[in-house]
Amino acid sequence: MITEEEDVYENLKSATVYTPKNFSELSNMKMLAPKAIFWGGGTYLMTRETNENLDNPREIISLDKIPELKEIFRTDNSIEVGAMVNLDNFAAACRPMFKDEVIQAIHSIGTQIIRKQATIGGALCTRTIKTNLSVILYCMEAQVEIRSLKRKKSFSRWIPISSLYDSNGKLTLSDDSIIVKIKIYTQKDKSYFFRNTGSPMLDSDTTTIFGISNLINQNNLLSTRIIFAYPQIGLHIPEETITQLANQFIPINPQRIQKLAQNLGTNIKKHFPNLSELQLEQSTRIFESYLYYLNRSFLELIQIHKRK
Amino acid sequence: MIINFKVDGKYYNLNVNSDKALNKILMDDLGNTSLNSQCHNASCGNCIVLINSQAALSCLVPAFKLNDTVIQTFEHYQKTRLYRDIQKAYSEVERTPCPRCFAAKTLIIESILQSLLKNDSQKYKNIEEKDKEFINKELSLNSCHCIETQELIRIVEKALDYRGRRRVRKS
Repeated sequence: MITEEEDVYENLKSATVYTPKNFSELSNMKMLAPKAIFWGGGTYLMTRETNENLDNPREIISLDKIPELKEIFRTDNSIEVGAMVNLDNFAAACRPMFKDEVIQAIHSIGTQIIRKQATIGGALCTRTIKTNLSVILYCMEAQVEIRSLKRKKSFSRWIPISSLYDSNGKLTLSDDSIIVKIKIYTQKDKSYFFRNTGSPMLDSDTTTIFGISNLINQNNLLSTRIIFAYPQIGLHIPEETITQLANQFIPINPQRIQKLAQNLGTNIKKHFPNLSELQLEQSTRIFESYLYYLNRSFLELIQIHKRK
Repeated sequence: MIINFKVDGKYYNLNVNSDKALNKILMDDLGNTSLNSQCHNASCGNCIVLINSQAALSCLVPAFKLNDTVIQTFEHYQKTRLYRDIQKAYSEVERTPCPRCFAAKTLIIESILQSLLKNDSQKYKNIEEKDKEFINKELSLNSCHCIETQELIRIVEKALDYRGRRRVRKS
C-alpha cells in the first residue's frame, strides 16, 4: 500500500526521455531541451534525496546508446575509458596495467552489484562528493575529455581531472557539456595509497578520503600527488605539503613527520575553516600513518636486499 | 511512457512514468510481494532482482531503461535449479536469513556464485582469503544483521561447492 508521503510519483508528470545514438543527435537534443539532465547509470540520480530535488516535469537525456561512451581503448602505456563504462569494467580494464592498490580503491567504491550499475561519468558528476573516484583518478593523473554541446557542431578538449572541480570540490562542468572519456598513462613504478575513514555516501559529514601517489627513486620521493576529499565540503590539494615532500629522503625522521603533519593540519584548517575537528584530526593522522608506512616499506626492502 | 519487458516469464506492456523506479513498478503495478524495499536510497539492499541474469538494486533502475529486458524476482528464481544449490547450503549449515531479507540475501549469494565461478570454474575446490573478503563485502549490501557473517560465508562456500560440482557433472 502506498501512502501519500511515500509515493514520490503521485504528483509528477512522466519525464521526457531522449535517447541519442551519437554525438550529433546528442547536440540536437540538448539544443531542443536545454534544461534536460544527462543520465548515466542513474545510481546517484535515482536516490530519493536527489530525485525529489529535480524539476517536475523533467527532461532526461540518456547517454546509454552512444557507443563511443562505452569504449575502452588500450595501448602499451595508456588506457582510454568511455564515461559510460561501469566502475566494475573500469577496474577490470585497469587491472593489467595498475597496481593492486588502485584496483582495490576502485572496488572500495561499492559492492560489485553497485559497481555494475554506476558509471565513471556519473560517479564524477555528482553535486557533492559521493565516491572516492575523483581522488583515485587525481592520483593516477587522469585526463578528462569534455565535449561542449553549445553549438551545432560540438567540440572537445582535454583537461586534467583536478580542473573538473573548483577548490571547494564543486563540479565546474557546465550544463551543456559532458564527460566523454578519461585517459590514464601507466607508470609502472608509481606507488599509490588510498584511505577512507567511512562511507562518503552514508557518513558524508564525518568521512575523510585521502589519496597519495609518488615515485621513489633510490631513497628519494618524487612526483608526489596528494589529495583530500571531504564529501560535504570539497577537495583539497595541499600544495605546500607537496612542495615540502619534493625530493624528501626516506626514511623520514619522526620529528619531521610530526612537523609535516602539523603544517598540513594548519593549511587544511586555513582552506576549510568549517571543517570538523574530527575530519581535520583524521586528515593529519592518515597522512602521518602514510609516512610511517613509507618508512617501514622502505626499511623492509633494504632488509630483503641485504639478505640477498 | 510505454515499456515492454518480461518479468518472471511473463511479457508486460505497461504505461508508467518514465523515471519510475523498477522496485515501485514491481510492487505497485505488478503486485510483487517479495521485494520488501524500504529505503529509496540504495541503503537497505532489500530490492535486489535479476535483470538479464545480473543482480541489480531495482530502486536504482528507471523505467526507461527497462525496454526489452528480462527481469526475475525472487518469487520466480526460487523455482529454478539455481536456487536449489543455495537451499541445500542453508539446510546443511542449518541457518537461514530472516524473512525480511531472505530474498535479497539469496539473490546476492546467487550473484556471488556467478561471479566466482565465472572467473574460475574450479573455484569451489579452493576458496582463498580474498574470496572470503569479496563474499563479505557483497553481503554487506544488505543491511540486515539477522545472521552472522561467518555463517553466511559458510553458506556461500557450501552453495559454491554444490554449484561447482553440479556444473562438472553436467559437463
